[in-house]
Amino acid sequence: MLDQIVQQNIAGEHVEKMTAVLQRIDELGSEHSDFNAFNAQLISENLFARFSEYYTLALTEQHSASGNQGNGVYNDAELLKSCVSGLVQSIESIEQGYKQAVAEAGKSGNAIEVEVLQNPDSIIQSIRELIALGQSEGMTLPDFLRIQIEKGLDKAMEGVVVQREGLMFEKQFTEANPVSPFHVEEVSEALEVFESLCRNSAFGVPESKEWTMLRDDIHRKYVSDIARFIKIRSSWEDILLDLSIWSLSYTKFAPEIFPWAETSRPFEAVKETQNINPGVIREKLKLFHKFFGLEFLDIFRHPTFLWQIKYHYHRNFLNFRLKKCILCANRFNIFRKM
Amino acid sequence: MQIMEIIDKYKAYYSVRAKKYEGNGRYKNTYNAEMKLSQAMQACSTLEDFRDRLGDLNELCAIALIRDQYIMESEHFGKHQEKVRKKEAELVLEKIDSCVNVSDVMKLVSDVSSQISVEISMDESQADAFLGKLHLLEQYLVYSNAEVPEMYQHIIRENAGEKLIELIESMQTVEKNNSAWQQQWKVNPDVCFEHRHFRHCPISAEHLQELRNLYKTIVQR
Repeated sequence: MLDQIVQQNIAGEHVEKMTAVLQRIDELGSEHSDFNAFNAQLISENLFARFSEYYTLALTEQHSASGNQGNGVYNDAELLKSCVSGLVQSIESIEQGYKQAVAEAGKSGNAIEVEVLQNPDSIIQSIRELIALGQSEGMTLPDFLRIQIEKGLDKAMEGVVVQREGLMFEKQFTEANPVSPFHVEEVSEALEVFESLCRNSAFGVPESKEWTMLRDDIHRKYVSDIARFIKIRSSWEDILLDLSIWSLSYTKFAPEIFPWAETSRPFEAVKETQNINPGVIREKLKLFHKFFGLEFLDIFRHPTFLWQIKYHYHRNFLNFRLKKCILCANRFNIFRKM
Repeated sequence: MQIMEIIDKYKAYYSVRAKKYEGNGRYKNTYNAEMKLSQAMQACSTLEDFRDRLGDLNELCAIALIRDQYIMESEHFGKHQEKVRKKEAELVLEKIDSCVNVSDVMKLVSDVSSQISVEISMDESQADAFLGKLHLLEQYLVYSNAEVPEMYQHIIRENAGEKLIELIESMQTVEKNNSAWQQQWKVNPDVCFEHRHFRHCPISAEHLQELRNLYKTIVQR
């Protein structure tokens, strides 16, 4: 940012303060070897915010100074051109930021995820619409500003215009991979509330702050149910996994497969599983009953289990695995004292 | 284009700006400020008039918008018992009247936001330190209480000991890291019973209290 200021030949009190803040950041960088402590010091001295504040003041002062150099004659075409060129620059900077993010993610092998999830095409498209409006024949600055509001295009830079598209994507994604019924309800409700807010907004596009608060209300409505659903599911998944490993330990080939084959003494490790897992499973079942009032067989009637069957597990595989596990567990009296 | 035509177009623009907030109770201050600006502009007959009458009305619109947004935030976080997050809105609203222009307001927002963001992080850390470690407490209970044949007991108790160490080390790490941000920061699992954290808890308050007591004994906090 300081380089940019220098390149634009902006100088003065605020630029000097920017330089001083940057020097202080450099000083702290050489004082601290722990990044966390360095970051804490930056925040406690408010250095990021102060740097940003002086940057804004330097630019504002420059802008006011250049504005005052005019001859006082109103030139609508020039003012409109300046607005549109600001939008063109913003597209360039969004595209540049996107390319950098993809390149950065590529270093850790996540380029495709960033490429898809942070794709700025929608937001760029809405800014292009604004540019096209500004460049249309006979356009004036006041018309340009008014039509933006009437069409909701003034929200392009806030991203509100792409919210509907984002919510639709979120809904489809959640429905394709539904973690719980509450996730599906939450995103459906969010879409409904968003549409209703659009309908009730003067020009069909909601204010971003208002929407953020309403979206948070919806999330909070479901958060406890989601936490409980996930905890119950992960508890019985853990129990069934232990049970599955335990029953597998009785197969002839157990010492030759994971996890026992990975140990230095596979035969002893198999014996350990056979002797330790029953006690561990009983204790896990006790906590499961204590926290959620559920017995072992309740698992298979519970909504969390039925949800997994419906959306995530293959019924035949599960039936086979469970029948084998339960049969084995009963035969070895694993549920005694329950 | 005739200058009068441009003036009419500006009047239409300012009128639309106000209309955007008409009837929206969440943006009452913004609407009033935009209406004042629009009324001033509707009375203009030359471009010079615009400049003269504009004064600080445009700035007041921006300040009114910030005020409305923080009123919304204050009500929102108040309704959800988010007492730490609510502080930012409270502090901004308390001091916004002393600001004379938008730059002042932006500085106020930036200062308050930096200050409160640290408090929010410290508060969230309390939940991570305890609620985020419930699985370790459960595993500790399982390995401590599991009945296994005599010759395997040392293995299961070793597992329990490992969970104890994990709990203590995670507490020490978070206290060390957070002390860089807030001196003498200590883990306090009692905070997790407040609504803003407890809403994330999957078990009842009674059961959480049992685990809290166990956690306190283990980490000595």
